[in-house]
Amino acid sequence: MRSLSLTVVAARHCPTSRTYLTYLKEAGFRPSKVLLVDFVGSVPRYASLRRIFGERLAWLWLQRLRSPTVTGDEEFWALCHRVQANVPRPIDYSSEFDFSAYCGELERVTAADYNDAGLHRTLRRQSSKIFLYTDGGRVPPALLSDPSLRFLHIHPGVVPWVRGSDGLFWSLLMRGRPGASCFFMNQGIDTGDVIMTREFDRPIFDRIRSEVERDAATAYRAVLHAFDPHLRAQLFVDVVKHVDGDLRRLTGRRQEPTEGISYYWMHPAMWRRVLVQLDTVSSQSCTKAS
Amino acid sequence: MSDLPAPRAAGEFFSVECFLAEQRELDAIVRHRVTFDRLRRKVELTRRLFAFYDLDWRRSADEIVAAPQYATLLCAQLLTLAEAHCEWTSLNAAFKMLDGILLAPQIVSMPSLRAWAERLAEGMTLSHA
Repeated sequence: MRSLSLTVVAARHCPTSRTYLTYLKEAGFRPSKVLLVDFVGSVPRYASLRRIFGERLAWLWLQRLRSPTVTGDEEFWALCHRVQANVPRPIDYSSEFDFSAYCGELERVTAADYNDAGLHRTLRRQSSKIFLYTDGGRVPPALLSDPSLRFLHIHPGVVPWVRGSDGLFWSLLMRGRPGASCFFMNQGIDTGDVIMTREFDRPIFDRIRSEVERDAATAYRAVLHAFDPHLRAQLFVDVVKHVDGDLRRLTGRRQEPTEGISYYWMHPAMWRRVLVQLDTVSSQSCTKAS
Repeated sequence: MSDLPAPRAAGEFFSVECFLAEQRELDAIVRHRVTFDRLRRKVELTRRLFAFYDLDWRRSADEIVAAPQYATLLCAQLLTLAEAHCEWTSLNAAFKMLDGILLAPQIVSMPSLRAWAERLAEGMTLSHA
């Protein structure tokens, strides 16, 4: 197992975190550090304590909190299992995950979000200052403009052609297949210097049409929860292999700001139609037609 | 659309009402798709359609909201673009407008627009690019 000089900022309940780590381990890599973060959002009492006792003492108090667990009934987890039928390495997202088995060192913290000064201090004292972003909202300019820190992000769409929200669904609709891009985060939305992109075969989801007709929101959530992370993780492994595990060698090419398209969130009437076209039956008829 | 109120004059600003009122044919709508794209983005981001924007596409200082009929007209024009050129981002915005993301002005209830949008979505196929 080769050690990567990388700090994974793993949002504890984000499925992408465990997917990255699982794929890295399968490929023979282990990040030097996982910073396991419980992002708890705005906590009124935390704000009050900061005002009264100062930021550092309030941060200590915050460490008792944990982010809410991902909830899902049996049908949701069964659907999560089904949408992984054709991914390289299916993952059980319903159970707890032992992050310590996937890294050199594990540190656990709780933070409101990326604007939390306590999290900034924690990030700045890491020995590896190349970070893999997984979740937790927007990273503020204070971190992104710090030349000593570099944040890697994998976006579910090939930039510059698919930037913004619902990248998986817009990729499927506009390019006919899913894609992913690895880039250094900057202050724009998906506008950072691009390290690598990849497109994937169009997925086929068994009986997804009936799931969409029965409970479209759950089907949508399951695809984002249990399929989308596999695309990101596969690309990240490609990136790591490309530099033979030495992430300091990563270079990015600049995106032209005027090039490409930024999408906004997709309306359910649209993503429902995208999803049903990924059903086994629809896909077979598409193949026959072409 | 015969009950459209008279468009307000623009002065040094871009008048949304004047612009929309002028786009009566498909050719005109297609020719101005860049402007429609800007309007679409403004509506999706701000959830409002203002009567005037300045030349940098910022809302004008007085923040006059467009008349409701013009939101309906914009929605119809976005659907026209979607139908003619498979502009799925336009269809997406039209669905959002019909679903109430637009806080102001309130779009005039138009079941026929919704039926049109649903019909276009039914014909939407994944790209083979």
